[in-house]
Amino acid sequence: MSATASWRALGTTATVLSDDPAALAPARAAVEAELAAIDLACSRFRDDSELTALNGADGEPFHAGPLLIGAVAVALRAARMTGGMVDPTLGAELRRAGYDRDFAALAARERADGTGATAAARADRPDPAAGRARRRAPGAWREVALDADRGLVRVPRGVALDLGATAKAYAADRAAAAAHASAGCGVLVSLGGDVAVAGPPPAGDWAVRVGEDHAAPLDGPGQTVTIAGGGLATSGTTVRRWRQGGAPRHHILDPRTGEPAAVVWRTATVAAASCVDANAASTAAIVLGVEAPAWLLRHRLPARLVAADGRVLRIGAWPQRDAASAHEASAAA
Amino acid sequence: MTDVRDAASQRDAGIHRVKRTTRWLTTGAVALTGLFAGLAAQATHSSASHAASGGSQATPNGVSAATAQQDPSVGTDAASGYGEGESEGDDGYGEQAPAQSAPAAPAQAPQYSAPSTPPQASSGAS
Repeated sequence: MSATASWRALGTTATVLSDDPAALAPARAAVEAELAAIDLACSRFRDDSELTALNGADGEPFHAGPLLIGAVAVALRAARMTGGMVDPTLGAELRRAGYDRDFAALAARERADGTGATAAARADRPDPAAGRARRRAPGAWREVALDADRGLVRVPRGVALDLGATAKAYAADRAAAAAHASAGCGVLVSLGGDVAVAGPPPAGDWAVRVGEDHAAPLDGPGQTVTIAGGGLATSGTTVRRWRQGGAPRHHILDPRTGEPAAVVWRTATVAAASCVDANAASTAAIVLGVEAPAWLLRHRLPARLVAADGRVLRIGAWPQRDAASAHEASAAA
Repeated sequence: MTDVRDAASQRDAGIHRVKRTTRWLTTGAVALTGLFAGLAAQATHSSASHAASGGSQATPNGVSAATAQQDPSVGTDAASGYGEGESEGDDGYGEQAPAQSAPAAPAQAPQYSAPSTPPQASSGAS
């Protein structure tokens, strides 16, 4: 019988499960320490974070600590392995799209004035027809220079990093490893639906409810699967949304346009050897749209895609539908 | 009589040529079969190695190193497990070749869970 604890962290819900109830406290402490360190290193919304300092370095080499170096390495690796579909150099575009503060603050702002866009974001916005696709020079991430041995990173002038797509998964992987080391038993860490497990799984493995919103009740719509290791991540276009100039926006940008990706999939859930790989693949699937099933099959990644109309597509070795799910299809290698 | 012997001789020579041609064709077919079988085995081994490596190379960070795939955007990962940055040129950042990688598949795919099994955590968008 596992024990669980949940709290707010990194702008979302952090959950830790410990296979040994007596080990929950040290497991949680390890996760909290890891998340606090990641937040201080990688938050785009904190004035005192290393990432904010790096983005303000104006193209000059920046000495970074090992956590930020690791997070940038992870982000660049995600860009490489997705052919640039997961791009960490979209910080300025996210700000222009109105996502210039912690999402809770953004949602509060939207409730207050009905725009969701701050004055700065409105002033930055070059195209009044928000949502209309523009072309963006792709591959800026290739210009980010990283020397992990010397702890140096350099971001081109005018480019701002946003590590949100991968840093959360990186944190989940690290937190799970730290919690396992501290607790000495199998653990599961979930950060807003990005799931990482470490150590021996419990009998019957970890049961995870896959749905549209990580905060939905565990008996809500979706499918329950079990995992024994690695990671599981869900990216979606329906939860972290706001309006800008009357147009609906979501937080997954298409690097080819700098605009929110076209909504082909409401959610994409991917299982991989780590949470980082699962997250990169699920984010890429949202951006790739109709090309996602073939890409996931090519990489042998089990996945569950929910189309805009609610139909579910299972990819590769993703388990069969549960009895309650209708309209499910599958694509096999 | 001589004509009969000549005809028989020509017949035997023809049969001999047919046999020789058949033997060469058979030998060639066997050789080509072996060649293609070897190539197929090599390709299958590469794929199997990749699939196996996905879950077997976990680093202390819990991330697997991946091997090269056919996608031009991916390749081998750096030893760190998370890879290194891009090369920049002659400014001190460019000494390393561009490292590439592919998302690593799980060692074991998610399994179907019976409706009677209560979920312990959730994975959804946030």
